[in-house]
Amino acid sequence: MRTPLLQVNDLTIRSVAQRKRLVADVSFTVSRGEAFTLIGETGSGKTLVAQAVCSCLPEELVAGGAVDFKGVNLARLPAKEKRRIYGKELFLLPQEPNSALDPVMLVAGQVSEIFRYVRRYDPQELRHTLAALFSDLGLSLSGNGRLYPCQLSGGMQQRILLAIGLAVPAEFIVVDEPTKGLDAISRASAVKKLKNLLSKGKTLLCITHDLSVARALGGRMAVMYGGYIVESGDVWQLLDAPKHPYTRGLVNAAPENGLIPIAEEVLAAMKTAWQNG
Amino acid sequence: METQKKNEQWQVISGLLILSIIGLFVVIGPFLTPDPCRQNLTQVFTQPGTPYLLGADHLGRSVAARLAGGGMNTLSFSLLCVAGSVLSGVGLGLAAAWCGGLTDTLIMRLVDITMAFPGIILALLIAGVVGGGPVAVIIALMLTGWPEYCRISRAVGLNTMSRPYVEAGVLAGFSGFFILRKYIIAEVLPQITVLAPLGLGRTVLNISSLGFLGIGLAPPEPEWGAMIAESLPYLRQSPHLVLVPATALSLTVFAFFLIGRPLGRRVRK
Amino acid sequence: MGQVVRSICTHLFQGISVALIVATLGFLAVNLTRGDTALDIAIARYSEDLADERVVELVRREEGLDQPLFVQYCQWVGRILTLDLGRSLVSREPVTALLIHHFHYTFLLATAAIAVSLLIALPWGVLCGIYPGGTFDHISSMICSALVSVPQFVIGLLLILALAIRLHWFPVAGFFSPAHLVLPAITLGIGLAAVSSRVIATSLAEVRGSLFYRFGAMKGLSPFRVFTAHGIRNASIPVVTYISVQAAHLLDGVVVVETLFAWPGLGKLLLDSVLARDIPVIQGACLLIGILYVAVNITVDLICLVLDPRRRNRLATS
Repeated sequence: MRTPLLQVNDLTIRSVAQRKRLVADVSFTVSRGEAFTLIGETGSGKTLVAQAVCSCLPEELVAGGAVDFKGVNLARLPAKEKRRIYGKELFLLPQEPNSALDPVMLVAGQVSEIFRYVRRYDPQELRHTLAALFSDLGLSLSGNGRLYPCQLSGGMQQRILLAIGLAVPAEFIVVDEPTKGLDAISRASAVKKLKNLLSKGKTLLCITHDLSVARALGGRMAVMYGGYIVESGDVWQLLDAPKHPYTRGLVNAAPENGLIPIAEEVLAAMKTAWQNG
Repeated sequence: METQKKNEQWQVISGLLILSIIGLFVVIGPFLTPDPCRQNLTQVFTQPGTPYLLGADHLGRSVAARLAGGGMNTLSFSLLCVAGSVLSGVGLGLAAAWCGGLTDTLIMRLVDITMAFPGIILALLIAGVVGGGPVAVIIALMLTGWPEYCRISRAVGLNTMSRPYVEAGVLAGFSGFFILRKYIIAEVLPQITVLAPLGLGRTVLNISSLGFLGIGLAPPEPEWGAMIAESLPYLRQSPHLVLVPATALSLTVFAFFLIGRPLGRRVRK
Repeated sequence: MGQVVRSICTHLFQGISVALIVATLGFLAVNLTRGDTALDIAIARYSEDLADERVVELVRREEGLDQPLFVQYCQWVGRILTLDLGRSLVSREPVTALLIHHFHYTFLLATAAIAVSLLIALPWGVLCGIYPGGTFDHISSMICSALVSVPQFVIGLLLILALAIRLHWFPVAGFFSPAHLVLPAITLGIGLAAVSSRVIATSLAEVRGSLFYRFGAMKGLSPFRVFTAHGIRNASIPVVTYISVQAAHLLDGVVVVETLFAWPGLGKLLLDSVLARDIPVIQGACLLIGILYVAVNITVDLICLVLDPRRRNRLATS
């Protein structure tokens, strides 16, 4: 058995101001070198789980339970120690490229600063790697790279964000909705890039609402709804023979399966079940 | 959040407290002190104590009496200016919202221009044309004060006019004037009232600055800014002649700002 | 670059039209409300006793005041365009020369004041912005709102009392040596710093709370690197935008502070000519102040365009 790189035990996230529980009793482990996909619809709390894993939740939210990264609870680490881990061992790629990219810096600069200041490449090596990375993603360093985020389309911004994710040296990468706003072709290429990361020995926690991403990455996955994990297990097993009615509904709702909406009764039944439990 | 709200409440309460003390002094003061313009050349530069509570100035006039009288002048002129700015601002703002089109564009352009213009310099310019005196000051400060109220009342007016109940009123056949009075002005007034303390604070600052420059009330009449200017040559011997009105002035403005900031923040939300 | 040039042209056009409107209003106001200008000039020139009807008529013809108002206006605009602003009614000196002479002093004072305010506001605002909501931030905010409530001439008076009269460090008033510049510059600078330190603090706090700033730390950059790469330029945009508001404040302050310290700048010139009803000088000073004001606004807008690509983008697409 491989050692778990990340161990999440009974993670609970609550909002103090609204006195509301947003995520409850979420537990899973991610082993070194594997891909773990967290799937769920908007508002299911999957992004919050990603932020809690990296210990960068918004200030008004409080996390309970334990998140151990390499056996250390990040939430208890002082800011200085966390800084030593961010980018080098652990990295979260946020989902809104529009607010994650610095509006007044050329996009090439936002990728190259990682090579320059985190990986400490020399200028020649830097230029070479950067150009290769850009062309790999279907961008050009001298074209798109010399633009500001406001001059790029949403899909283009998403690709720049992906470039940042590929540039970072961290071994454990949490990606939040890496395929949002991408067309089919660039989605496939983005997923391919993520798989490349896996083959380089990196570990991936992927947050998405897209079942095909989970299928492509393989490994294990968990399905979230309303702040709970409803089902988890091996990707192929889970998607081929879903046990929970919500997962079954989710699989049937996928475009390739005919976009069948999830039955209202299922959602209502889950809600009442949680209210009682 | 909670602490900030409490903090703001304290600011408003302490501001009101300071203002009521100053207001009480300004209203009751004139009954307890001699005529602020009466000169007594045997009492020139008397120190605070007897016979004058706060001493006497270079012409032997009671500083306490002049402080109370000056406060009355400064505050009542400020009130007048702010009232004038509010009236013209709300009027033009509602006109812009109601008429729209070219009227709206013209009025808003005017707002942009005046908002950017330095107030004291405009006052000087008007004083240069009209020839000084309180009228020039009031006109000038009204001219610099109205744009803010105009913008807010236009925004609130436009917002209210898009509400269903206004539409219902139009369909019910109410006259435009009735709708304006019953629905729109009722919505605009509270927002404007809440802005008034800030405006008053700024106006007191401007009036006293103009008084200090010698533009405003005619000399024998007391005014806080003018009192400071008159006593300036005697700063070395009797600094209290300057410090007393300066303190009163700063405290008043500070109190207005204490009340106005939290209230104004609420409007912006 | 083409967008920037176009933007300059728009601003210049706007600025010139505003200046023209203000100047025209000033001309009309003076000519319509001031009674008999020729009589005023005659009195100013030859004293009240000698200004009889014959002298007034002579002055009227000499100054072109017998022409219709429209003709006078055209002549006035023509003279302005050739930089001929007439002569002072009091000193008989050309207004342009007067303005240049006094502007020199105001320029000195304003530059020194801005330097003082930057020296105070930059470190102060940055400290408050790095720890927003902390004790230091709260105390600073209170100090600033107290400072804003104190009229500038009172700040100046307190400085005179403390530093000039008690400690004899600086001269009280006048303009004979660089030491005379210190107190008025500090007076103006404190007022500016009180406001701009708050602007710096809030804009820095906002940038530090934004996702891209925190993302910089997530990338593994050091706090210093994140601040220099993503903090400074973003936080400076609102600060620079605010300068145009402060310019109005500065011009107001210049009048008061120059009067208090007997500093012979434009503000003092304007005040003196208002008190003496020296109309050509008033008009000239207003025109110059208007031009300065427009120039500051254009400069600020241009700097913002350079700093903020979003604004450039909006300009290019609109």
